[in-house]
Amino acid sequence: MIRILKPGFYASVQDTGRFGYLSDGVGRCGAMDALALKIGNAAIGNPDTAAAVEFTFGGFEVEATRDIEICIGGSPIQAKIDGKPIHRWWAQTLPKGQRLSVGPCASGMRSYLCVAGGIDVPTVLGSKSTDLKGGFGGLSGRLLKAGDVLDVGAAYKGREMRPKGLSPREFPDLFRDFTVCPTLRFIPAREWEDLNTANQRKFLDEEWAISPDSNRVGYRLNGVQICPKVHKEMLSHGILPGTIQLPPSGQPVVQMRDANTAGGYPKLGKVIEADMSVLAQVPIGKSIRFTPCSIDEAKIALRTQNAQSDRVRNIMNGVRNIA
Amino acid sequence: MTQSQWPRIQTLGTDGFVIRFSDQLNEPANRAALALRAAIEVAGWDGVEEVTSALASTAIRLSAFADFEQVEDQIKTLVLSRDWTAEPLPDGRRLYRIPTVYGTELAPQMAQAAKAAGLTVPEAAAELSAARTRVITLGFAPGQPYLGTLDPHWDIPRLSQITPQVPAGALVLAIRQFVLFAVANPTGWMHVGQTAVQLFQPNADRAFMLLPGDEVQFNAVTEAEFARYENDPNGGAEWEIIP
Repeated sequence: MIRILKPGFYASVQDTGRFGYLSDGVGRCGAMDALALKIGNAAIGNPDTAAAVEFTFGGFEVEATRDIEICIGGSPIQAKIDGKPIHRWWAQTLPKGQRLSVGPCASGMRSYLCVAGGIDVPTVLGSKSTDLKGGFGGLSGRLLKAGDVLDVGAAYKGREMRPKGLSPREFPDLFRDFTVCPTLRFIPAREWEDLNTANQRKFLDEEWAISPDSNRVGYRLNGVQICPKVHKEMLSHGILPGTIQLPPSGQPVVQMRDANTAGGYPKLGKVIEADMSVLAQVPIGKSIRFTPCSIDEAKIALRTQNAQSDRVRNIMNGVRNIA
Repeated sequence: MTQSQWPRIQTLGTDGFVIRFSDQLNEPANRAALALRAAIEVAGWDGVEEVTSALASTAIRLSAFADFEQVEDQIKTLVLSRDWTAEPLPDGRRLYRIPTVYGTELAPQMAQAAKAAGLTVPEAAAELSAARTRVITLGFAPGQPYLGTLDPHWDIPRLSQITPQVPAGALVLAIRQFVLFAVANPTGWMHVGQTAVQLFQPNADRAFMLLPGDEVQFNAVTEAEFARYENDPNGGAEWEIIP
């Protein structure tokens, strides 16, 4: 079991999300940085979809009640086990009774503590993700607090291993700097055409700062005001994580993993799935840009990203065989 | 706006498509959305992971590697195959009668809502209690229904000030619709009634009490009667199949 000593700012159990219940008003939820979750799981031999703990802004501390293989993925962090520094994206043992402590993180947003066997909470509607708005899933449907104890599923094997991990040379994506205004690709939506050329240009040329008023539900962006040619009052319709909406304020909102299942604002487009992991890590106050892309490009990007977890499995298995 | 502009098929990024039947809420468009959703679920096309319906639209979510163009062709063929606004509602729909306290301190905005509709509180309670409304869609929270459509004098605006929280089971009203709250949440709609139902029971066989197409009558009860239902997850609700 894993005992939470300090949960940090905002910690919850998340897997790859809850699918198939949008019509019932149940959103996807799941890890904000799905790539980090999948890579962290792959590194310790879990299925990509195993549940982990998502921490926000670092600053957390946990201990293990037995030897547990772990991998911390996601934002750049300073982590230690009983005072001894450890690496991000490394699989290693958190020995029984020892403390994993992680310092505050300013250059990324979210860290994932993946454990061999996965965090074992009840599966609700097909997923272990916490639905914070609905108050179910995860651990009692709520954020983690100090003193919480999380069960860990059975790992595929229990032997102790030497720490082994991923290098920036092989996986530059996993070590990118989220503070340097990443360009996110989006697929234009119907109401993109409701912007005149000047406003489309503004949207593409502007750097958009992530507002402090952003969370797992949505990111508000601050920048120049974008005005459609006509003001449309639309009926609420189905929306998905990644949808870029334009409220009357003229400041776009990007729907994130805890997005409501319906919304009524005009849609400029949808951030492609492969780039949602980057957006999940851009620190509050830092900026992003947008560039349009085709559906084919989006699919290739996702395929390339998904292939990374297979590469991680191969590398980790290869190294293990030598050991 | 001419009839021929509807329905419209639009993309939802790489995730799929949305088919919109109207830009206004009306009964035929909602019926079309429900019927098309049911037809796509039955068709079982490759690559379709989820089909959903909203007030006047149906959305399809595809797997990341589905053949987008093939599905688009299939949608076009199916959508053009008939007049969806003339389709019947799905079978097996339920009529629920849910005990509801109107007004009192349990639902403090009833007086304001009645006034906005041009009625006294007893008149408003009698009307709302007699109204039989349909679940138009579920949204925002697990199993949370939008119900409509109430008579035109209930076309009352949302509040300019958000109510920080109404409890689960709250019946709120605006723009000729009810929303019955599945969990405690903020709202800009007027809190006119209170029920004791738990709409979402994750571990029950039927996790969501109400489904799109079901109908509900919110029958007025006294506070004393309401107190009897407070420990019943169904809040004293009764149902029958609509013939």
